[in-house]
Amino acid sequence: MRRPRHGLPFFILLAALAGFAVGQMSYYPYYGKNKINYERFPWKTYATDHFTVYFYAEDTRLLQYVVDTAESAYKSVSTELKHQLTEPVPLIFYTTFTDFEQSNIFPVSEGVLGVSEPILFRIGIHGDMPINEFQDTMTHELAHIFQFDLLWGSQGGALTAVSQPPGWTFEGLSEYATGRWSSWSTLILRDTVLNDRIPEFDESGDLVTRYPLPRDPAYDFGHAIYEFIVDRYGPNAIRDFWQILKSSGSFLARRDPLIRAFHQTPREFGQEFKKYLRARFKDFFARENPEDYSVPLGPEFPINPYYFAFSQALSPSGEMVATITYNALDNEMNVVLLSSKDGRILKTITKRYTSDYEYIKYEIDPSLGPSLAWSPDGDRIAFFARDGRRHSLFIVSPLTGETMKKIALALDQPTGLCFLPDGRTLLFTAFEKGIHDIFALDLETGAARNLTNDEAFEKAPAISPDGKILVYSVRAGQDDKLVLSPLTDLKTRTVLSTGPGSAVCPSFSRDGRTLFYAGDARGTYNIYSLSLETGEVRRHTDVRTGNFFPTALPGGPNDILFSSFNKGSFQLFKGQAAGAVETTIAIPAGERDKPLEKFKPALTFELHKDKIEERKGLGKLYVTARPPVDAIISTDGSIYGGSAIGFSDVLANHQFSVLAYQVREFRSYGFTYANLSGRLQYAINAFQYAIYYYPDLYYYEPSLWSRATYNDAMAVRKITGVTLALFYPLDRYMRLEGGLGFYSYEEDFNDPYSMSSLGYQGGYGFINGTMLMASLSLTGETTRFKPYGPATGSTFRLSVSQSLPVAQNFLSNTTLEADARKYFYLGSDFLFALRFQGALCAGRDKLLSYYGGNNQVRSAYFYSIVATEYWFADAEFRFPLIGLAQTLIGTIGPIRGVVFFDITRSKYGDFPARFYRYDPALSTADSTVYVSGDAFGSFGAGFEMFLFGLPLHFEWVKRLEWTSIAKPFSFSRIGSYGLKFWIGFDF
Amino acid sequence: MRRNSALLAVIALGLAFCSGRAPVKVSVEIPGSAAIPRDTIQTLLLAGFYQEKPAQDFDVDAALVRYLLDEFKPKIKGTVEAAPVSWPGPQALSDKEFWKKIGAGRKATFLTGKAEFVQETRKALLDSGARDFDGPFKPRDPWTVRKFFSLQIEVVLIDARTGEPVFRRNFQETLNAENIKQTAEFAVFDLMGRIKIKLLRSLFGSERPLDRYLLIK
Repeated sequence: MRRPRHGLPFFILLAALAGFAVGQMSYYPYYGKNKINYERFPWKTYATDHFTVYFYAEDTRLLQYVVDTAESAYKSVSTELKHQLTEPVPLIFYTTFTDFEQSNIFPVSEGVLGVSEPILFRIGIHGDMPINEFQDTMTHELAHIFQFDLLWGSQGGALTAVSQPPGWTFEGLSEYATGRWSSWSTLILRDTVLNDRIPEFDESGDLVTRYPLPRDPAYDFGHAIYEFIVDRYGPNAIRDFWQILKSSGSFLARRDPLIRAFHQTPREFGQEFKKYLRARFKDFFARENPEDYSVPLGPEFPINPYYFAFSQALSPSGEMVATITYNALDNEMNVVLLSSKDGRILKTITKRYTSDYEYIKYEIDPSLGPSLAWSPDGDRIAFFARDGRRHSLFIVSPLTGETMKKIALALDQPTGLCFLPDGRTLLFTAFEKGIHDIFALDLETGAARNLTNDEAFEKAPAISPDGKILVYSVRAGQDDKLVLSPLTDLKTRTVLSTGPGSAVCPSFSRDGRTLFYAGDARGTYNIYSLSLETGEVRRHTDVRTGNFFPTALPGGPNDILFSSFNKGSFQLFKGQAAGAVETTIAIPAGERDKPLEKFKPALTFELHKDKIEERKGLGKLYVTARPPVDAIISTDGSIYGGSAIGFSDVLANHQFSVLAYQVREFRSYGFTYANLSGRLQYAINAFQYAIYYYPDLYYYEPSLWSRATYNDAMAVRKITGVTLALFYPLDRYMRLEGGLGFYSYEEDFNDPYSMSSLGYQGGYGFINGTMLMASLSLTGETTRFKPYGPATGSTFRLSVSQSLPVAQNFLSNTTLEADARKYFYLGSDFLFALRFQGALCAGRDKLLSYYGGNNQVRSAYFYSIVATEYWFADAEFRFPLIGLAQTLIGTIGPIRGVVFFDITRSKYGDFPARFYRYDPALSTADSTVYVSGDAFGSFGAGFEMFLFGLPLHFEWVKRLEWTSIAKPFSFSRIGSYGLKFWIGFDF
Repeated sequence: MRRNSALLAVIALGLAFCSGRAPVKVSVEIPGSAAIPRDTIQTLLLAGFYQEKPAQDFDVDAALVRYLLDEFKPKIKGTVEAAPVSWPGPQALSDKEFWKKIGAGRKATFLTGKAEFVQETRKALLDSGARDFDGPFKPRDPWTVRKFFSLQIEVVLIDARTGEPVFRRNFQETLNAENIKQTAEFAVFDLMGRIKIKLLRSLFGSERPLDRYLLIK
């Protein structure tokens, strides 16, 4: 299934900045997870008439596929749109999906088949799919490139684009350009039309829908819109429409493009489009709804929070069904058990928010077979889950949910699980170096054996109850055909389905005499059965939308459990559908190495292997994003302005950036080079930063206030330096970071002469000198986030920085820092959050840390605590109050409550680790009394709300003080609750 | 009195400035006058265009007929078909008997005419600074290349029964393409896209979107 295909590249590099040396906290309190480049690809290039293909596969057959499909796609899209591109398109081919995930150009997540981007017109695509889908994906992505060229004129034109047309104009045209409807897209379209849930146009011309859809309507409904345009206005209308889009600027500029192109408002156009769709599917209105002959079992969203049954496995006894479903409350996939009698949710098997794996593997396309399986003895349920670079097989107990076994696989995109009757072997399908085959996994040894080892695309193996016969589907041309083979000899094939359309999801009856499957001979997927003894083909349903995964239930011969797509989701049904005999076929004898129709691209080219070139060096560099222009007014009235520009090579493995900004008269510059090509990544940063601030003495010297202005008391710190930062991800959650940096500090009052005349010289914590520092950090984050912030998991960072004794006059210090957080999710968005943070700087030239305020120590002013050693701890209980609320000022929310407690202790240089607070109650005109103690902190409650994306906090805070930390339960409450407001993210 | 007069004048001016005669901008579709009401065309026969100098590498006539077929089919309730003719010469366009003979008494209208398509590759020298540049960087090319296309067509509609022309008009469009890979076929498509707007407007009186201002009291 294709997902969002184009967008500006956003891979963010964690570059080392000089700020870490002074121990200040990051503004954004999260460290992020790791994207690991497991290997450094030996890139090569091959130039064709219209493409520059970047690839690394040794097997030139793959390059042949890519070249043939790419040029075929170019021919069809160019002819359709009557347009030629000016420059060759950079086409970056990754052999497997897991390799594609390592791209530094494109944001890739599970399910993405290909991506195109509008700056350099690059296309990224992987090979883990059947060849005909590869052709469709290539055509789809190339159509986007043509769209970018039509709209913005050339590579880089998008950098100056102010706006872009709605998504359906892009995705719909790309789907239309393939000239095909996948069975999945047709299913979505038909279901939506027949259930009268057709998306509509809003005022901006976007497609909007009130009902959940399995994927963005821009794809399938966009495709249908273009077919409607051709049907109503002729084939030239598409090109005319795009000419108008090009001249429209924004979709609402002066005149709506729909009005200009078709003389219809979006509303009128939408109404005509709906009529067209209803006429197109009118033959299906009279067909069955699955509830006409079966009972829904579930999941029943919103009665329960589970939405969609992606796949199911029936228990051997037939009393329970396991299904992979989406938990809307926790925003994650779960495996749940339902009763096959009444659909009652019995148990959620999989752990919530586990870090045992990243996510459960599931497929939306039913033809790929089931995503989970129940062992014949009933004691185990198996599914695949993402575990590091690839997937692992997880075998869990259906009773307890405990993981009984985990087997890591060296194969890509495993699916189609099927236990053999002995329960010791599991069949499944997967890609091995771009070829899709059936594998047998020995559950004792963990060894996987390729059973088919051919170029055919086999799917969804199903074993007979006696373990002798295997039935599976094979992609033949554009369709899937059912094939039967003896398990011991998969080269001998009997093609069972020879009629029109596809046949998928095979499964055997309990006696092994009948084969159930889903076939689309009538334009929709219905449940069929084939008697392996008589050849009688019976059709059991005549549904409007689609029925899949038929499984025989104990009981009568026609008692089946199946999955039906209805009203935008898959649900489980059970029923008795006797059906009618459709035909009787003569099942032919098996034929060894029977050839099946193979998809061929429209054009084929002769590959010239001498034109293959090794890619060396950086190549050309390109501007990859529009330089931002930042202008901010700070609270003291000064204006901050700046910009940055970034360059990278075509593969985005080498990235350069230059930034410059100024606030008041203080300028800062920075240059960074980052190498992201391997697992160990590094960045070199050269910089000069000038920052201004108001030193503590101005706060703590009231006598100064009448003699010096705010500007006089300003101090400036200028840091010039070069750093080398290294990043090595250990796994997705943990990484090592190292650094070596040279820094030159210059710090003084902005007007030292003025302050000198007042009797204040430098040395008030000012740092002047040179420092060579090495650092090492271990960072880990398993934290899972919800829209309001962290929800579960843990985060930590431990770092040590040591200045190197190069010369006597170099600054000398050692800094240790620790940050640890833990989140306990209690359910329904209630959670308990703990944090411990601390730092220690020792040596001759200690660096100062500033903290306090916000959610660190609430009873202190923001960054008012200055220390060379400190720790603080926070505990918060966070809970939901309001999900979303419509107000006069717009939508606000979520609104969450918090009850908090924090405590801190700090030490400044050689002074004792105590705090001092001026007590006006005890002070007199002649004497100022300060109260001191070991530690202080806060207690209170408040709420957080989101407005325009900003988290706003309103809290009532009471100060707590400990005279002695050795008596933690002996503390004083100081003053009354005070209201505090701050803006920032939860830790 | 003078102060009162001045005050009255200020009040009067203020009322005048505040009175509402603000113009409201509306977008309207202004219909044009149709040379031929499209409902009267039962059958439109696309007979092709005569070319004095046909292009060698590309069949302009076939491209024009294909384009107009796709354009007129959705717009006319009657049938639209391609009906290529063998041109005895340029004079055939004005020969009523020629068209009556081909029409064979059918209640139909021929769409035909003359076409001239020119394609050239043009190069231009840039300013001399590009040529004189001397330094470590590769200088940019001193010339630029464009592809130039021109399409001139005379569209004639002829009544098949009488052989009389009922509509005749000339159109010409040019295209300068920076993309030197632009093909003649695609250029004809782009040029016809512009000609089509004018043709349909003059033929069928297609609406034109225009902005008008309403004064509202």
